[in-house]
Amino acid sequence: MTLLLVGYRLLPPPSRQIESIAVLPLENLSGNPAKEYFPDGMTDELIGEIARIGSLRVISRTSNGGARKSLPAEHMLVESGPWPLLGLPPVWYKSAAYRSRAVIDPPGVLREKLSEAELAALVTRDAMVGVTKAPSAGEKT
Amino acid sequence: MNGVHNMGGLQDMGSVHREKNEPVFHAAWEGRIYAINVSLRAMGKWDIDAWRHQIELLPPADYLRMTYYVAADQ
Repeated sequence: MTLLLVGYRLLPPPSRQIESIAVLPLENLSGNPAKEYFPDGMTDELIGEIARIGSLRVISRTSNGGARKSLPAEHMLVESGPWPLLGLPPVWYKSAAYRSRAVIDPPGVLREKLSEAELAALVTRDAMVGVTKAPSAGEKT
Repeated sequence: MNGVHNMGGLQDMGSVHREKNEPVFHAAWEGRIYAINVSLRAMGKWDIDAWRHQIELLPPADYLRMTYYVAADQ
């Protein structure tokens, strides 16, 4: 997840104006059908928040329901959008150590937990564009 | 404002410490403060610009030692 965030933050702003957007439904990866409300609620929250941007047209949930691709809810955990649902990010995300080094030395921050080979094994095209869950790795502690 | 909060790229801040199985709130009062904050924002009494401004008014040494929640007597 850290890998995705760092990549996201270093992307340049899009040069073309975006006029409409569809929010793909988030997916319940817990294996527990009783938790279906959680990704559903997050999807609704995202649609509601984005719909408040006057210059952006949000394609309704019913009209994007036909799209089979969905996003794993875990991908959204750290970013600040769904605060009302999830609370604040983990403490390390605010720490001076993370915020300073994530800018000047992002590979170094990532290598604190995983080796370069372990990191490389996590990178797949679909995970990097956010349409599938990144492979998991045993983290060093 | 280019204050201590603008720390991207600074060096020598140490390594990142991750708490295992970190709870969303470390104490019950943190949840209450969080709920008050969200409610005030929803009521339009408080917004993210005012919030940022208050954060940027913190003395740098205090800002550096604080996490999301700090009890007033600490």
